[in-house]
Amino acid sequence: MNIRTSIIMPVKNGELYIEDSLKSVLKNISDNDEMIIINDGSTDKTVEIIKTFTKLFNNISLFHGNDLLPSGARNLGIEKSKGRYISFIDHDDRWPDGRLNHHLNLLEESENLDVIHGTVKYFSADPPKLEKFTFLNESNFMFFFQLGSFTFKRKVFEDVGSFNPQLKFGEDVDLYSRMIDKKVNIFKDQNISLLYRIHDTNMTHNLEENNGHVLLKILSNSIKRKRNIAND
Amino acid sequence: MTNEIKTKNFRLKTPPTIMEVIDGEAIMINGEKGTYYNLSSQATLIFQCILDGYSLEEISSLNDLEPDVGKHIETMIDKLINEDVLEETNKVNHRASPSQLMIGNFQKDIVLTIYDDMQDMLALDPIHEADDVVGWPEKK
Repeated sequence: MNIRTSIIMPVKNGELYIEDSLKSVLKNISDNDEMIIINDGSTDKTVEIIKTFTKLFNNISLFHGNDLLPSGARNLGIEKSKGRYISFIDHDDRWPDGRLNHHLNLLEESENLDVIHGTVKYFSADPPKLEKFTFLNESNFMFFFQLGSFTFKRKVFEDVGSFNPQLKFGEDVDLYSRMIDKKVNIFKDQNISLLYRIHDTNMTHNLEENNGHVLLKILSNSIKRKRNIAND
Repeated sequence: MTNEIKTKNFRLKTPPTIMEVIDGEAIMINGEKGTYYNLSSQATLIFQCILDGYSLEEISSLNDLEPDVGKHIETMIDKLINEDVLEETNKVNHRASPSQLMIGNFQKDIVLTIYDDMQDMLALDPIHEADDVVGWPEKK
């Protein structure tokens, strides 16, 4: 079967939100799309929940890893995927209805586009949590690195490589910088393509100093790549 | 070289900027502008002396800099001030000894490169905690 899109979801202990996330993806996909879930050693009810979906939908596949971390899990997902297009979603986020088809229409209408990058809107089931955060505009949506807001042509990963498995955080920034350095054609679409959940266990909330170091290292690598490209 | 920059002391302006030396070259990000910066290895040595509390006049005298090299450094400092990477300070807290200021007979390899190719993304980290006033990566 000719698979149109592979949607890849890495998850470890996502019992609280994964059902909500999967339902949002199911509203977006067709029979010729596939959903690939990489369970990275969950010890809660995550697998049990996923299996209720795989029993009902034969285009949802479950694979298992052990301590792959999000980068490694996404890379395994890419390896297992067959779609012409690739998209990602984290187990705690949602896609708005119609998001996937909108991105695919844009990609299919214009052959020279490689990636669609939509905006991200932040939400919380517990609204006071959002009040702890500052947003640059009142509507609370914007372009950001979150992978769930992108749709990629498969060839992008052939051109720029997959995720750096050594990065525990910032793998999305690293991929973005490699796309920029390789002049990948990214179209920025103002429509909201990801609903990003703010909650107590977001991986990126408790990494203050480490985040800075990782980001600077990623940018240092990007500068070296730019020099190499310029010298070629 | 104007006395204004020549004799003053500067420190990293943080927030919004964070900085680290990686493989001998300084990398900085201004989290408000979304711009990032790279200093060549020679420029990094000078930059570190500045952050160690030495004025350009002191650095110049210890290294017997030719006037055009001094001018070049002054331009670099001026750009870094305009980019909100450096700010003036009255506090001087020397961390390096004067001998560490002897940074060699460099001439032209003092290069500051400014990158804005991810400006729209690096400037916008939306999940900053509101009561925290440090730079981009430290706000998550």
